[in-house]
Amino acid sequence: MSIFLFRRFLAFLVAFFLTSILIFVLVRVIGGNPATTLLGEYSTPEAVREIEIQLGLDRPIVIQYFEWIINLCSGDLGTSFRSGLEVNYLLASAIPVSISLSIGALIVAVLIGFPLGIISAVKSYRGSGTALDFFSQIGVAMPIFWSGALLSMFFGVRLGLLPTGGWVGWSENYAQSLRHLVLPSIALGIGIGSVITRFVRTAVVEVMRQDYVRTGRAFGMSEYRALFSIGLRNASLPIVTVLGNIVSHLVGGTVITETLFSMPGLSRMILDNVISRDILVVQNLVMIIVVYILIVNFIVDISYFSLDKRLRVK
Amino acid sequence: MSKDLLTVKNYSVSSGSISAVRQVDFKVSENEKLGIVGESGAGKSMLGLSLMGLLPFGWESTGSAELAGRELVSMSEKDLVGIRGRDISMVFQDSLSALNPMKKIGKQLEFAFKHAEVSRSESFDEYILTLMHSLKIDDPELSLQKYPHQLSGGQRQRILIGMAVACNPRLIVADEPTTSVDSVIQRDVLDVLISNVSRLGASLVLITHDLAVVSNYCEKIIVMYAGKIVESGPVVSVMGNPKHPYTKALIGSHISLKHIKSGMSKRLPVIPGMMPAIQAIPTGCAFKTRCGSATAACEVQPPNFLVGERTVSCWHIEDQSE
Amino acid sequence: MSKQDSATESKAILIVENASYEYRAVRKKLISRAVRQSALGNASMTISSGDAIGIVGSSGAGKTTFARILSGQLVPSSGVVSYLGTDLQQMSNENELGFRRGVQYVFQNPRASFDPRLKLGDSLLEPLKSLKILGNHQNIIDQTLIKVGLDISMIDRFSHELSGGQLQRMAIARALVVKPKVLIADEPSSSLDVSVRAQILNLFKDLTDDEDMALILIAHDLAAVAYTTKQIVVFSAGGIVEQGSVSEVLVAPKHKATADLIDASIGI
Repeated sequence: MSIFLFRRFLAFLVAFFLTSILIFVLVRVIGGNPATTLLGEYSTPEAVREIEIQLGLDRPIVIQYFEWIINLCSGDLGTSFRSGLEVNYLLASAIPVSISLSIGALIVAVLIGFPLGIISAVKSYRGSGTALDFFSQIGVAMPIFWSGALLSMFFGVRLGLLPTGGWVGWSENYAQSLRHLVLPSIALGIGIGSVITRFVRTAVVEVMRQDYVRTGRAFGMSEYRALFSIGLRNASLPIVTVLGNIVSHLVGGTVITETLFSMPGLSRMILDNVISRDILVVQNLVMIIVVYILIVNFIVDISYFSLDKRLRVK
Repeated sequence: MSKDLLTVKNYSVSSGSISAVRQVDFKVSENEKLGIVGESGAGKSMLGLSLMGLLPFGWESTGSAELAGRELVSMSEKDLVGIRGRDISMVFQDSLSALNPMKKIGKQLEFAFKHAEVSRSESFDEYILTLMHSLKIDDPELSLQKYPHQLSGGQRQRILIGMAVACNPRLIVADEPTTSVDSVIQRDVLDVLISNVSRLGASLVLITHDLAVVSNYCEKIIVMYAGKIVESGPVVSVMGNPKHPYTKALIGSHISLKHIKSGMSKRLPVIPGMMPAIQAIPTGCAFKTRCGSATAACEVQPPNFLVGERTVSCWHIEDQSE
Repeated sequence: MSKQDSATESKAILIVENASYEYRAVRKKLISRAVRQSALGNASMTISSGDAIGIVGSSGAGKTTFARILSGQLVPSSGVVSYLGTDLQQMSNENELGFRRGVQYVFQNPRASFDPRLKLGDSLLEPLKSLKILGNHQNIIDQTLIKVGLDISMIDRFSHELSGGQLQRMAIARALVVKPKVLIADEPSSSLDVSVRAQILNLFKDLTDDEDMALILIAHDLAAVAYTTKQIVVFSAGGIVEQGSVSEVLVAPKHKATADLIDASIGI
């Protein structure tokens, strides 16, 4: 166990440093001089020089990189040049929004995906299975901005049941927060849920086709017992792998959803800073997302380990 | 004369218009070991699965198959769940795919026991260990803690036998139990199977493509070709004096060391061509296209002629002697 | 195979001297040397034209490892394999082409050894092209198909249209089109049905009449090997434990592994 974890952790560190170097270099190469970017095309050399000193850009690039990493690791994400506010302070309000949306969407996705996937697997030879398959195809193909717009038009504008956008902090009024979360979570969750449906279906059908399911049934296991005690358990490995990927993709979906429902989350913050050309802040925020995805993958690896007991035996 | 345990009459296994097993009749008595021989596609595996009620989706059995007076063909899934493992059980072919790769051997054995609620005088663990002993598995405690991939093919196959005999079933169907192991291990596995069947006083249906296995381990034999029983009867008479041209050819093309030691370079006779696919079985006798003695009469399906204790489905039985 | 190396040296095609093979087992600890496990130890064999050698042994005895070393698919951890007097490891490109022509392999599962998207004729043409065989390719293919008992029209079919037995004949034909000096067949009949198995073994038996080619037949079924070949080599626990003519080995087995194999071969 410990060796396995240690190896995974090493892989995590390697991935962290490689992506950080990549992001750092990309920002320098494509973005050019962050100081010039910040001040615009027509800035004077003196002003640029002043900003460079202020941001530490005059020092050797290797030192800049390590300083950045050390700051990141110690939790110092710098100051937004435009607003003069600490990035940490801005994040404190943005991250809860993004996490709420991600979790909400995941809950919706899992609630849709697992039951429908299992039903569709059990009925895979029958008409209802095919119908479910058809709807999950539509769900996968439907873009968020379209399903989101439809949802807010119907539930928000037509029925007036739920707010069509914006955000109320959890500490202010959690009931309102929940109400604000419903439509974006569904909009984002439908697509992901459809993907999960399809994967659960395939994984379960594949497992139920295996000889050892027949063996179980030959010794008196009922069809449903076989489905739950063998089918789902053995199908969980491929499903967890897919879930890990889905969570990574969730980040992309969050950007669109936050914009669509004007939610002040992490993606909005990145977008704002891109627009205001505060490239060093963007660099930090992107790195946060990278760390988030790496952590999710790390968790997936660990759950793999706890699901597949064979990995523990040598 | 012992009592009949399984009586199969006019029994077919089909999916739509395609039939894997076509109107077969046979009996298995108590304590009897019956071998079903045929090449792949003869329908022998589908016959075995259908008796367990484990046919793949879309396939169904018709006719009658009575196990100790209970009709299996019309039996509900619920009742089938009740008899599987307890009254009828099965040893599967490929031990690696037939065992759940994610569960320890012990857990899988436990399930085969638990469900059947065997009344036991000794403790559960003792019972399992006694069984492991009868399976000739070395170091049983350690083996129970292992996953299927950590055992050898022969050990896995014996574990499958253990699961099949765990609940004292009356009939054990073994579907090619030794095709996935090599010849040295084959004999160990078969010995374990037979000794456990005898220990329980159960009956055995041994499905195999290997004539040698049947002639060494069974009392009765059924030879299947394209879904039909072409010849059946006591092993001694069928193997010693085959009547059906297919049985003759099958025995003739079998290589044995005895044969080699005696006649060294003698060429094996072969059956030309191959068995028709189940979608394209010709009318009349299915073997006529490969048969040396086929005549116009073979356009009509021959009935099962009784010759002494055996049945032969052929229009050209030259001698009627046993 | 003969013990008098000096007498047969002129005819020797493939010589294996003290070949061993070890594979790296999975590491058990983070910081430890990878464990090496031996699959084959010190196996030697001389294969001359006209030989018909059967290799038997239970699974895990090292038969397939040995065959793969013979055919150059595996490089032995120690020991030398030489083809027509040249070490396989020190071959010029030209010699290597000769070796690849000269040693052909037939696998256990014919279905897995054909590209399902190619017509069989094209599958047969492939080795002729890649091994730069001169002559009329169509003629060569036609003659070979007749030799293995297949209809010439089969070249227009795809692999899924043939039965297992027909496809195994096709695989043998594909090995034979380049006129190899050594034909190695690894369990060629064990995935086939009883009645078809005899057909394939008869075909191999016919091939042993070819004095210009050596046949190596690997099988766990002693009877099949004894029927087909002239000499038998018994493998056990990663090494050669006994070898001799079929009658010598069958009548008076010297090693326990041989006796076990004879014992296990149940007759009708």
